[in-house]
Amino acid sequence: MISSLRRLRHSKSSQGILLVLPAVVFVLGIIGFAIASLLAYSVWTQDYMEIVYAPTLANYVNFLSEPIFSYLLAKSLLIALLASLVTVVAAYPVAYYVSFKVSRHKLLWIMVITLPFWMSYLLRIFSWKLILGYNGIVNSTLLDLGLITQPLEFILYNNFSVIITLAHAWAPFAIIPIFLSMERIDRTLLDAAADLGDTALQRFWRVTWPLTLPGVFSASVLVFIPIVGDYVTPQLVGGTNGTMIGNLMFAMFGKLNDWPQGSAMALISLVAIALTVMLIRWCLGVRKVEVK
Amino acid sequence: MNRFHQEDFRLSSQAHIRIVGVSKRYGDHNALKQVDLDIREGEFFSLLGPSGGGKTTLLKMLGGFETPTEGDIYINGEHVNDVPPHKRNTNMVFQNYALFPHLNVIDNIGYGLRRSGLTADEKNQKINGLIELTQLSGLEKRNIEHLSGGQKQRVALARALVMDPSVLLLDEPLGALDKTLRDEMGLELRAIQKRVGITFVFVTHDQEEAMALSDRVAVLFDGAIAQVDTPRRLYDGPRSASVANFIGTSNIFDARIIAVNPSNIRVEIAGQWTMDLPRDADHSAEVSQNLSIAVRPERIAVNPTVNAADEFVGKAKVATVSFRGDRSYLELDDPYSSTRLSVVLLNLPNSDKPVPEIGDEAVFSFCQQDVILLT
Repeated sequence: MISSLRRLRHSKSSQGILLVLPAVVFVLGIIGFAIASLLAYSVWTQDYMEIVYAPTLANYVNFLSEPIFSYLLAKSLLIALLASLVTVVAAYPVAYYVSFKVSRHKLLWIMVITLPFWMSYLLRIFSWKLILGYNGIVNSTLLDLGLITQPLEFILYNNFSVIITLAHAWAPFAIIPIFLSMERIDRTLLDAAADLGDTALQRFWRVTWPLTLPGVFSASVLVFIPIVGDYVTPQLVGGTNGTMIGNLMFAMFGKLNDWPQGSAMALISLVAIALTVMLIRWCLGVRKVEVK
Repeated sequence: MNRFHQEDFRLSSQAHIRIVGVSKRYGDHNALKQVDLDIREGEFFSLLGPSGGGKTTLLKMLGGFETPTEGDIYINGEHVNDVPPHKRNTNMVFQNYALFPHLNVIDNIGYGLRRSGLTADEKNQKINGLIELTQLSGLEKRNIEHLSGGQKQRVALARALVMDPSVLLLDEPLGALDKTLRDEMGLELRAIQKRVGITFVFVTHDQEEAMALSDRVAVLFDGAIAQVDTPRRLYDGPRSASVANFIGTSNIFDARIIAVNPSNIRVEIAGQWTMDLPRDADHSAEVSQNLSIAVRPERIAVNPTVNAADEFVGKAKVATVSFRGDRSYLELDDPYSSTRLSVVLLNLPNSDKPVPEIGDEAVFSFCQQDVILLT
């Protein structure tokens, strides 16, 4: 054993393998274990406090026959899509400004822009409650200005507030990949486009935008995937109408104590997310672009 | 056809590009100093100089990417100082090609035609004509990353030429290619220029390239033009020591005027030889004024092939000999100049005259026609 390891260490090509081996084992182990246990649980059933180990597709059938489950999943995907869209649309000009208009200390700019995101996620959600709440900043300002006579209730505890809060929370995860894809654009390409007759706006749509699509795609995916499964934000700012699939899964693994049903739900979400990501990719028309 | 005849014919045609008193300052740095230049219609014109000489700045001004701090630029008689690149009838081949990585070969070439008002058929015809001209057939759908350096070069050229520019600007287009390909592409570039008849303004730091391709060359040092001439005149009659050393190799000797006559001046070279030069009306000449003269290495003869008719003869010791096949490069330690004397000898077939060897005492000679007077 020791001697074969030593032999491994001496061959040059295997040195690389040895270097990545711990990480690969760790990642594959963790992910593999998680997926395997989800798969296993999803074909078992819960009988009060007991797990019944007879394999069955009952949980999947149950998921599809209960409209509320599919509804919540579809709604979560839609909210996550909208939140990702808002995030990316808001992040793009910020990244563009820093990449194209700032000439010095770009990284410092990025750090300063993402500074608010260094504090706790929960605190940020609570501050949105302070802003959008019944006695919050928006309402009291509008009241003081005499624009409304009683506080607006529709701005908190609904899907709108969930989207706003999520978009803000995930902004840095969108800004950074988009910024990096812009940094990699050779600026003489824009000169070449101008030389060939393009105005500033045409240069943007014909050169900058297509070359930043990989960054926009990474940003969308990076933001979309975690949002689908989020259950903290909907719970805190979504009210009763804001429930998402994550809240339900949280309940299945918690209060309702139905791990098999939760596992089936998680796997179905996984597939739905993968399909949606492919859809995003197709919509953006991301081709295999090597930007050097 | 004789190059000089061609030159005289061109002198009569009007200036296509006129650069008048153009300066460019970046803070304290003067990138260009009072540059005046006329470039003629249909000319292959090179801007030659070491890096930092201002040649790329000047080219970018012609393309509209830089504006002069002072002075005026006219193209086809139109004042273009403040005309942005997309409104100019100039096109550029960029140093690193600047091909669009998200488009294939044909889409790169057709990029500028999108808003040209041509029908799809006309566009295709134009693009195909250029694909043929630049020998890119078969690569139309190829991805840009999968092209070789030479192929990228051709795509960049086709993409610019498809616009029918009145001036094509080329920023060190051959710089990224290896030596053999560079020579080949250079000649091809020259042939294409002859065929399309467009004015080419070509930036390079490689004097051989500039000499081989250009109708005329402007030599730029430190943002100022040192000399504008045909390659042959630049080589045969450099006006300053810096040009004489930048274009080919030169042996520089100190000289002094020892007599000024109504029709000629008498010059003493290296305290050794004297010669009479016709007096140039433009230049003031005074006795004991210091000058420099240059002699090209291939004009110097070395024993045993020393020329009996040569006026100037000296003795030296062979310091180095470097054999290059068709010719040999020699360096001589001589008492007449501050640096070693460079000599090039042709190695002719069946020559019974051996090349001198290191350490040999050598006699060298040159004649009055070989002397270039520098100012």
